Amino acid sequence: MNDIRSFLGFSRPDGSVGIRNHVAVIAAMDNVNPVVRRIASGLKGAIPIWAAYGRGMFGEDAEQHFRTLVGYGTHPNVAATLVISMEPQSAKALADRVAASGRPVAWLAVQAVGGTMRTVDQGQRIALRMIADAGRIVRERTPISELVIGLECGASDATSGLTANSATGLTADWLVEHGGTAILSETEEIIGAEDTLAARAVNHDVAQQLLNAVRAREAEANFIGADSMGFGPDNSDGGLSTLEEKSLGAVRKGGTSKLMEVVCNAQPPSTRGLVFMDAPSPGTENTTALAAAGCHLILFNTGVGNPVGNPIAPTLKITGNPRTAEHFADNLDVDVSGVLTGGYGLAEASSRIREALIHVANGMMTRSEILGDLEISISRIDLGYRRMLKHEAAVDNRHHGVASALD
Amino acid sequence: MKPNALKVDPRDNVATVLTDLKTGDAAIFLSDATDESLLSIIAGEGIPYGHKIALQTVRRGEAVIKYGAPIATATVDIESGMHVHLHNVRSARIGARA
Repeated sequence: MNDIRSFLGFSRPDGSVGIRNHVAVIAAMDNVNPVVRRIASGLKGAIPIWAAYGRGMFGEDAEQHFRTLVGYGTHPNVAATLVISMEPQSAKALADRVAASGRPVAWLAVQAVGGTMRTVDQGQRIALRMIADAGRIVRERTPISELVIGLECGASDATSGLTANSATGLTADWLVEHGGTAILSETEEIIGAEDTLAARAVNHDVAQQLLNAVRAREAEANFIGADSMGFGPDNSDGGLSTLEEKSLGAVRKGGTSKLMEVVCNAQPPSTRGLVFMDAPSPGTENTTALAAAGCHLILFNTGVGNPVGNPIAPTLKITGNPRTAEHFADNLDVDVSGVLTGGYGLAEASSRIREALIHVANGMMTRSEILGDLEISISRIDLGYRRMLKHEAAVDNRHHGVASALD
Repeated sequence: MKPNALKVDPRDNVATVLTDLKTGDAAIFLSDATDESLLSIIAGEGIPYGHKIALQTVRRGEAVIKYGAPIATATVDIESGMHVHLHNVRSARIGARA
């Protein structure tokens, strides 16, 4: 099993290929999260997908939430989906989108079925059959060009940019060279390095979309009074001298390929190669967005140690910090601290990541899968802030219009 | 000779030291990520773990290069072997912020 140009995957009716064969039990809104947890907890092979909110949401905020849940229901790693909601409309809306992907799908509404116990009973019988049927799908050899990986770093430190992020960047380049897709994200950790990344954009539009995303995130952080510079005394004590240095360390994990596309939170790419997703950087939130966009797995670099993984996209924890490699070992999948201690270079570190990636694609469980450190947190959009921006843009246009008329 | 510093990109004019260096200690580093040959430079002053050492003279106003990209601008002439940090560089993006 030394072939690292292919993996053993599960073919789906929509042409995608998964690295897991889960049956997803999804809560369309948070008032049925306990029902979803009860259905899935009784059945091996069922994965509960539940998050906060889902009810009383509007506009772009509601669209993003729905898009994320659709992403889970139709994920390559999902063989079949059971949707649970409180009432039929929301259950059916989500189930219809899953059905369009050709996957087996069913839905139950707790109000219509008649409460928790009946829904758990019916839901478990449906999921049981789905799990049994999914077992008939066998793994087939698949070129790695089918793989989509997410790139994330959390609890970063002085070693992150030098070791794990750099080695992950080489891994992303390797995958892209072989026709695969790598998604870089965490917009606020691009601030200071956006020009380098934009210079690699495949065309002017993509470059502009990236720059706009960074500018918008910076403006929003300023508006709410956050320190948008993201550079603290711990960073300078650790040897980082400027924000550019910190951000350049963070974008290393995207490698050096051409930037092909910029997508929004939880939006599946329409192209292969290196893609940027405009989504917030906190680990759970970012991996939630990456997985919803269809990432098969996520390479998650951690300097100090972050335990969280995604329930649908296996999440590999990688560290280049020798102290963390020892202290946080239970939660780690790949140790590349040898770059600092063992005298091996980034090429060797990258080959260790590649090997682990292929093992995980072939079915090896990650530490977060084994430990159950699996969590979803869907980003929310502040509609009031968006509305204010639209209002300001309209005022600007009016002023511009007056000026033009006077010219 | 075991590396105790890291130069990430061949274009870099700084390396990150991975052990506390005292004046006169050698910073030993791979010449780049894929090369196995070792280079060394003598520290002209104490440099703490995770901080940067100048691999060549960087004149005032010139860019400090790490990851193959400018990360800062030198505010004074920085001699080879010296500590590169807040006291002799500034951000090119966010002014004189410390």
